[in-house]
Amino acid sequence: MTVYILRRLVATIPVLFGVSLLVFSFIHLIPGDPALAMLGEHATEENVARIRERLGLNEPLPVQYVRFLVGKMTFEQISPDDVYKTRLGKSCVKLKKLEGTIVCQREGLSWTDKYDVNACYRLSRVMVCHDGGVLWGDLGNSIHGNIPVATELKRRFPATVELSLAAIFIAVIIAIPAGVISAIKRNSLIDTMTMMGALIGVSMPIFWLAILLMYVFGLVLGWFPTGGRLSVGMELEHITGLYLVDATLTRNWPAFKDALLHLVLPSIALATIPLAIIARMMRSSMLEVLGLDYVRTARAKGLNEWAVIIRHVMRNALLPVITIIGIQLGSLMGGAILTETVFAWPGIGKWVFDAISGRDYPIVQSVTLLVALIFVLINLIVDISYAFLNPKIRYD
Amino acid sequence: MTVSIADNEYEVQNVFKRGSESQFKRALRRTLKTRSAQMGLALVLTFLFIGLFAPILWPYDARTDLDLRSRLQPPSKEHPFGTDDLGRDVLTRVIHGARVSLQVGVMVVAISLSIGTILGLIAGMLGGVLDSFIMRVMDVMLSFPYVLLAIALVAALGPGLRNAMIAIGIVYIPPYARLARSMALQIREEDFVLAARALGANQRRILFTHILPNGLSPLIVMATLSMGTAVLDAAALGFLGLGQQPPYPEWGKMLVDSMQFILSGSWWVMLFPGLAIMFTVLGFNLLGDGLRDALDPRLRL
Repeated sequence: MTVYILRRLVATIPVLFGVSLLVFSFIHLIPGDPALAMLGEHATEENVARIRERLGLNEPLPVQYVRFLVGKMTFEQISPDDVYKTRLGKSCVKLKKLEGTIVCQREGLSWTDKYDVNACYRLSRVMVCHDGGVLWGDLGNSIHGNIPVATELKRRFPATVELSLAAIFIAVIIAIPAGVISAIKRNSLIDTMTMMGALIGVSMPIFWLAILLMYVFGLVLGWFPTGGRLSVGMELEHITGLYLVDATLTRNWPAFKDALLHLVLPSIALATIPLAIIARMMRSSMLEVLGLDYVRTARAKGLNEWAVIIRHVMRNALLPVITIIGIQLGSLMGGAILTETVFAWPGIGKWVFDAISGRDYPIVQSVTLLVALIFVLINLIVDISYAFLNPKIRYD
Repeated sequence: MTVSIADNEYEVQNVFKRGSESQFKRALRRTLKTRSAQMGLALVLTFLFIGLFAPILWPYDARTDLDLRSRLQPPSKEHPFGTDDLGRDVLTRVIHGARVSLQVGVMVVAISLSIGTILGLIAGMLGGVLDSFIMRVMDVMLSFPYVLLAIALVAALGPGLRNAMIAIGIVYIPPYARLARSMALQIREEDFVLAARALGANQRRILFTHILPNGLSPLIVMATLSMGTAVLDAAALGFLGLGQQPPYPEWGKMLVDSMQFILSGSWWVMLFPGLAIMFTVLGFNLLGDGLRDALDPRLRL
């Protein structure tokens, strides 16, 4: 098992490498001068030169790629005196060199300052400093507003996570029973209706469904708010960034109810496709297991039908469905762009949409990279958990 | 067990028969036995008909279409689907939007099917380093959610219908490559391929006359299903403003333009383009499912 996990981890490395290469090359796909594309037709030459410099576009490509990964790195031997002063070094990310001494600065950096300050780490007696570099979690600054992408990402990411988790939750609790019932009552009216519904679900543009839901339940009936995460004026202390969790932790029930109401429509819209896919998968997986010998044996020994279904059929039929759920959770991050745009949900999807309109490529690049990383990670977890659940599956 | 020459010859002949038209006709007949596949075919044919003949039957010039006196009118006898914010007839625009979707579907499938199949066949036939390289690249592409990768590509290439089609086409390559590769791996070990090789056929001949025709049915199924998803993804790109540019009608763009007017209750601007997308995609999905059941029973859901 350990060997399997290790091999699976090792196999992920070239994929991650490829992902980083693809995301890196993204900016070079832009026809013409990327700096000019970002700043628009009326940019001054000076500004274009500044952006080119900042994005490192004047360097040779391999150098640019290394910069993209690890940033501009400097190594410096440090004397015992410095070490004393940088005892905080490990826990402190941002350090500034001032006349030979190293001062830790935690707060009070304005955005423009931040870009000039190197982030440093102490490795034994060597001080390693870097400027940029996605491996360090430094995603650079946005073109418009010059805001550190990582900071904004940290603020917005929980919104997308909350929405995606809510959507996958809705999808699973509806799709699994629907698939099971469809399989048991195969070719009945209920089966036909469910499967037709599932097919319509995958055939519908989710942004259209989102608009429909917003129109019917938000505008006409007025049951749910039509956008945002929280009503104006509603106070909520941010701890995790997942509003439902934050509200529970602080026992802020009015905010909990408000956040929940805001969550309903976007998560239903986002849940449609995974719901349809999981239901279809559950049904076919059930049908396959239902035909197996041990199910007949279980029935023959007089087991109650529900015991057969739950204990013998469902447990085995769920295995392939778990893979699908994992993949769907990863894809939701992509689908969220559309749903978030319709419902003005302040997550990374809405952000990337705005960034595309504003041609703010560092943001598009960072979000793409993050989502791909999550996608790879989820697939890894799914594969490993699958091996745990099904001893027959082994790496080859 | 020894394989006699006679057996081989029979097999080789059989390959040609399998690729022939009568085989295909039979498959089609089997497909159309189910009600849902018939419905799918009807939807697809309607879509094809409208897409192909719209300019002849309902001539329309998007560049000059503007009638501010009749803006945002609800469905009526004159405008069955109502009018939009510029007074344009929604029905006409939905009809002409079909052309864009048809174009996207065909182009995307053409790009992904041809490139993906060739890459997959090369990987499967030749094996070795080239195989690993191609398949690792495909793995990397599959590490991104489809929509996101397509969006990122168009964002880089620049918005527009042509770039949207190229982006979706590229994003759809990996599944075809994987399918074609597994197909090549499976078929190249079959007796009739060995026989052809023994008879002196070269790699290219084996590829095109023996392996490709035998693996055609899963590819057809996949092409049908991806026509539907291509229409969906193109609408998504249009919705994000990355697809067909105004004033030309495109279903996704029509939807995003409609959003600001539903606040005032103009639901028709939003309902009909969405229904058009849904029925088109549903048609391809139903037909694809039917084809899959008929052509390749092993894949049945």
